[in-house]
Amino acid sequence: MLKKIRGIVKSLAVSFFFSFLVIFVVFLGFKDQINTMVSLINKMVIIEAKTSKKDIKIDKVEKRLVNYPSWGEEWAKLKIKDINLDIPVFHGDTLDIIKYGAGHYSGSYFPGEGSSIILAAHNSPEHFYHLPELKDGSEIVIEAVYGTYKYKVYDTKIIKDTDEESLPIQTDKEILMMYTCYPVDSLGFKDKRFVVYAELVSESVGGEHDK
Amino acid sequence: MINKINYVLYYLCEFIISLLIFALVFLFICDRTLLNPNYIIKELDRHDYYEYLDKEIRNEMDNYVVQAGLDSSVLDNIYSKKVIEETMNNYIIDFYKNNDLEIDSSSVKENLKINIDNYLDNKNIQAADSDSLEKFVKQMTDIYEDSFSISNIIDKMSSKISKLSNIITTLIYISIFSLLIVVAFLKLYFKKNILTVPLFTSAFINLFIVYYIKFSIDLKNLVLLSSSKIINYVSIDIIDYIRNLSFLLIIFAIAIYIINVRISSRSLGDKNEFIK
Amino acid sequence: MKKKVIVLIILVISLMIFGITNVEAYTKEDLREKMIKTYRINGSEFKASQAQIAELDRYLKVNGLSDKDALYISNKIDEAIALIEAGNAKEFKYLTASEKQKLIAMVADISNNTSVKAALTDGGVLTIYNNDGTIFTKLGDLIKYTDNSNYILLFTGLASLIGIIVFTKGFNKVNA
Repeated sequence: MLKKIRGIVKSLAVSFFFSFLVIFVVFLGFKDQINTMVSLINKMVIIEAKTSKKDIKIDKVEKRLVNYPSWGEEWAKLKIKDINLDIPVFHGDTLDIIKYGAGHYSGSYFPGEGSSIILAAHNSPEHFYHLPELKDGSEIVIEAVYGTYKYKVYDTKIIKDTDEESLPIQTDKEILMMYTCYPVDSLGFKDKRFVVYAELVSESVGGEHDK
Repeated sequence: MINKINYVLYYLCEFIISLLIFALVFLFICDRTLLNPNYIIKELDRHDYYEYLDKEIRNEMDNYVVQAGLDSSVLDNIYSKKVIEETMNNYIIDFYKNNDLEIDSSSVKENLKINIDNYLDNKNIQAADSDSLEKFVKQMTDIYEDSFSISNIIDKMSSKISKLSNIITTLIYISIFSLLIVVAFLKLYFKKNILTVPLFTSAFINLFIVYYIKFSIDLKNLVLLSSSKIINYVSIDIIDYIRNLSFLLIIFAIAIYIINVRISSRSLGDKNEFIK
Repeated sequence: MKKKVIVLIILVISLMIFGITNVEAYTKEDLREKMIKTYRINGSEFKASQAQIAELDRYLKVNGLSDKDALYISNKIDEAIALIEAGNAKEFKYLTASEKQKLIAMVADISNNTSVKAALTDGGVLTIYNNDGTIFTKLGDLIKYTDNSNYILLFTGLASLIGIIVFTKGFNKVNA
């Protein structure tokens, strides 16, 4: 019996040595590739995405928000009296977000940051259906969680859905651009967008808005 | 001197057979899992992937219905879960056979057109631009067709995977046959048990791979290519399969060792100096 | 004894002052400047778009970056530019397989130094996360219709958002 156990232990020892040899040679030759693969795969290991309600404030001197809303988080109300519109504004503009209100393009800036702001919404009756009725001088109010911003429409345009140059991101002046699919009352696929351009006229920081 | 050469030769042969057995195990696992369409289909069914796909297609289509000026009800019953299951299974089989990966969406198209017509009749609406509606229908059928492919990168691998899938069973049989011949020859030459160490070695290497992956990657929370977690389930299943096979190899190795010892002790006058 | 203590204290204070003032730190602001400027590579001009700059700024503000990591990434960017220049490729897709592999390795190196997480899901949606696990941004329609090599570098590049973003997000040509 002892001989059998000794025999198995000897076999195990030799096997461990062979295994170690193979693993050592593989790691020696492919260590970088293996580490690269593992680190890249680990970039995609996501514990359930959290949602956190941060206290969003603006630094008026730097003209930048101190904290930003999370993706999909509601951070403002969009109010346009002329077309009786009062809808929530969410951070992010994917189709699943703009089902519920206006979506904020994450490649643009926020009210108060002195730069381009882009909002998108569907042309449904509850959202931007009446956007084409806006004229120069119409007032738009964004009641953000950190302040209230008023804009005045100065231009509208009909553009192709691929025309990104008509929605320029710039940091010289605070311009609000809102767009929706056009024509609003036709059925089916739409390859045009109706865009409203508005400039900032007043701001009041620290206003609470009721969600 | 000859004994020393035989000694080294013996362990060298064991090492080579270890690698051959490891390669054989690897081929076997691929044949049973990743290169096996029936395994993939079984996994999809086991983890309710068809139900997930059904919901995903509907959610995606719903995103476009509103901006088209229509109601979500136009999407009701344009396809069924059974159709999705059959389509997905055919897609997988075509993938492994390197056939054209085409999805038949004609019934979806027809049903959608009927629903839209009924909706317009009920609302007493005349569509001013039939082209726009056609484009919308095409958009919906594109969404339907695209949903069955997890990634076009994987789709492009269809020809390679199909070739591998075809030759792998042959490769396995050839490898087993060759291995048996080599082992038998070496057993006759060295007159010793030559399988235990290679089986142990193959098992240890596999176990190392399994636990290295388990400790360095959190497979359960990997979000890759699909939010349905199907990739996670399949990966974890394959890892567990490798682990179980490794333990089986260890048991097999011990069994072969015991059998060899029994045979050796029964045969008379076996005074081989390499006795284990 | 008292004299020795005084000398020791003076020595320690001198070392601290020397230590603080001697090192010129490379900050995330320096890195940002490097990443937003226009590059001329192999006869074509490339730079980050305004939208990318806006997201980069927001990402750096929310998640921060240590000076050590900023310098590390900056060095990697220099390596990447040198690699691409040596290869003469005018567009990302014309890089050789070996060049792409080296870029992947660089991006992986940066990945190891940052906690950026990204997920790639159905429909080619790339989701990038903040350090606290909330979603930073989502980018759609990127991956499904790109070829193999673009896919690898797109997602890894974006997972290291504060890394070689300009070069891996498909080279934003200035006069495209």
